[in-house]
Amino acid sequence: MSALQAGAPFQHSGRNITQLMQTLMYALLPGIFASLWFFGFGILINIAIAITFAVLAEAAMLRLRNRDIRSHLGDRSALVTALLFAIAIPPGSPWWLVALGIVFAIVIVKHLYGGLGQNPFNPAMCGYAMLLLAFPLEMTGWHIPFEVITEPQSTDNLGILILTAEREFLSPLSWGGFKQALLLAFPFVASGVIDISEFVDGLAMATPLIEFKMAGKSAILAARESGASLFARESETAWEIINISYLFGGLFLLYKKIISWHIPLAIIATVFVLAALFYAPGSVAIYGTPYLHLFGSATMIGAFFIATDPVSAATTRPGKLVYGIVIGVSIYAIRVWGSYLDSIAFAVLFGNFCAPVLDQYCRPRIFGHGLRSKSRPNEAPVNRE
Amino acid sequence: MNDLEIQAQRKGMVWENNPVLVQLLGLSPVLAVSSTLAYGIGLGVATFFICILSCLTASVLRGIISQKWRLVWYMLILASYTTLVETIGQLYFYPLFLRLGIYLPLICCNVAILIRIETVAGQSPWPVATLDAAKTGFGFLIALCLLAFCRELLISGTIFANWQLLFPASSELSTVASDLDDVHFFRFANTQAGVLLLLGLLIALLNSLTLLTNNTPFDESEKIIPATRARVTGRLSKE
Repeated sequence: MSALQAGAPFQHSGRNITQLMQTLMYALLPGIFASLWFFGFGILINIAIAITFAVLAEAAMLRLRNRDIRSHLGDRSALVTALLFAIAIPPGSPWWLVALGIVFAIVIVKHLYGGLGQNPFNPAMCGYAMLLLAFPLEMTGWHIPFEVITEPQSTDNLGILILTAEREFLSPLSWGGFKQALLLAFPFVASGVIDISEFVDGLAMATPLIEFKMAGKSAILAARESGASLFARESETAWEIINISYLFGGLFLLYKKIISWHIPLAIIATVFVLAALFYAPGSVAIYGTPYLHLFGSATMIGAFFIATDPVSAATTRPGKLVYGIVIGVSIYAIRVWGSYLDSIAFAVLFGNFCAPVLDQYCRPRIFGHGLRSKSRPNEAPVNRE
Repeated sequence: MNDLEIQAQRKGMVWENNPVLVQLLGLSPVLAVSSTLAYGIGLGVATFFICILSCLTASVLRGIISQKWRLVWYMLILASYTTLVETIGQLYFYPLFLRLGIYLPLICCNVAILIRIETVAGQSPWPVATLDAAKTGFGFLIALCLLAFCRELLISGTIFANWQLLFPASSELSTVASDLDDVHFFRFANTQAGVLLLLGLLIALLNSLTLLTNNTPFDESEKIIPATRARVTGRLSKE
């Protein structure tokens, strides 16, 4: 037998980081396909740019830190970070935005803190939050492919041409949609030829929740009136189906035992309970139905994929539950009372802040220690005589 | 002689014992006022003069100042010179004074200066104290300028905009310099998190250039006793 004293985990599932990350990527696929179906090739271009720069940044940092590049790149953690990041930022973002965010995530958030397993914060969400703080305008425009037809319609009394622009929605998966997504990602190609700002929707279209929020903020009456149409399933099927796809991906992860049920359940239950408590149909303060909060936004991907990051999340079981509740409350509070459009990133980062403290105070009792200090039946009697 | 006094007499202490980049003291004005180079130079020069004057005064008066009440004395000296500089700023540099806001009066609470008075100037003859104060003040100025240069380039993409603020201006000229607040190139550098990150990167860069480390071999007699405070930047003292 080996004379080496081995550490505590004597049983091993036989799964290494590479397999874990690969399963995570498989679980993300349905959601990515659903986004591709509804929003076009922008998300694929995002993923391609993010993965390229993530791998480059990871290799450069590993080189600087004198680590073995091949084995560390092979664990695919940078790829998962790049995927989560690319999903989070709007499709149709220019390439430098994606590159800046992912390089920030890999270099500063991950490697400057010591690399995989040492980073206190979720790299993908840190990159997202940095971009949101730095470029709020670019981060809230949501590209939906359409065709712009500009033609002189008529002349008015003074003989001046009135130009009317008509927007016709393209199929996102058509060649035209692909071309638009490419032009948006690499704006220098089209410089001088087409004004690409025409492609981007002025009003943020990220999630229906945002639309609802904007309406609610602009006029209370409008919120009450638009409530009926916003909650209708026909208009918002895209986000619902994407969320359901992520839900399935998350359930797959649960089935594969990549993640435990504590964090997703705590987040979803907290958001559901809070939304149900504060939802008051017909009143002035209408904050959206629980269904909208769960499926009309990014809750599912946040709960299953982002908050469960094994490095930055809480690790003990009670700690995980409290961590999920903290994130759930933050998600709901930032969404409803905050001024930011997206709340997942900040909520998860706040949860990451709390995770070390939660692990400290929610430490499970070790068998044989600290149950009751006074009655220890197995303790050897002291000084009988 | 204590270790800080030994440090004060060594050469090249502008970098190696830089109040901002190595000691990490006086960070709040550095983080708040470093959005453009003009503000940085303005506050840095003011701090430089206040540092020299108050260290000199404290050193000259060290026979009078009782050990028990010395902190009150130091604060009084520092606050007097701060008020003086503030008044001069109001008189000749009114636009700059307006833009620096509360951070000009707050120099009197700058621990980077106070620690020099407490450890060096209060116990040394005036040439030592003045030299040490000049190094500290100049180090503060350099650090502030470096950070402000990087931030201005990132936030608004300009280099040394609004430089007119640094020259004595009458009130009519005060409208020449326009505010840059409406232009945002990289808005993240304007947030507190961004500034701290930038400061950390700047320290890392200077560390990698070995500017903040002391390469000159020093005698055993001068051996610095490791401080009780954890030293996070610069040269880690060897046992």
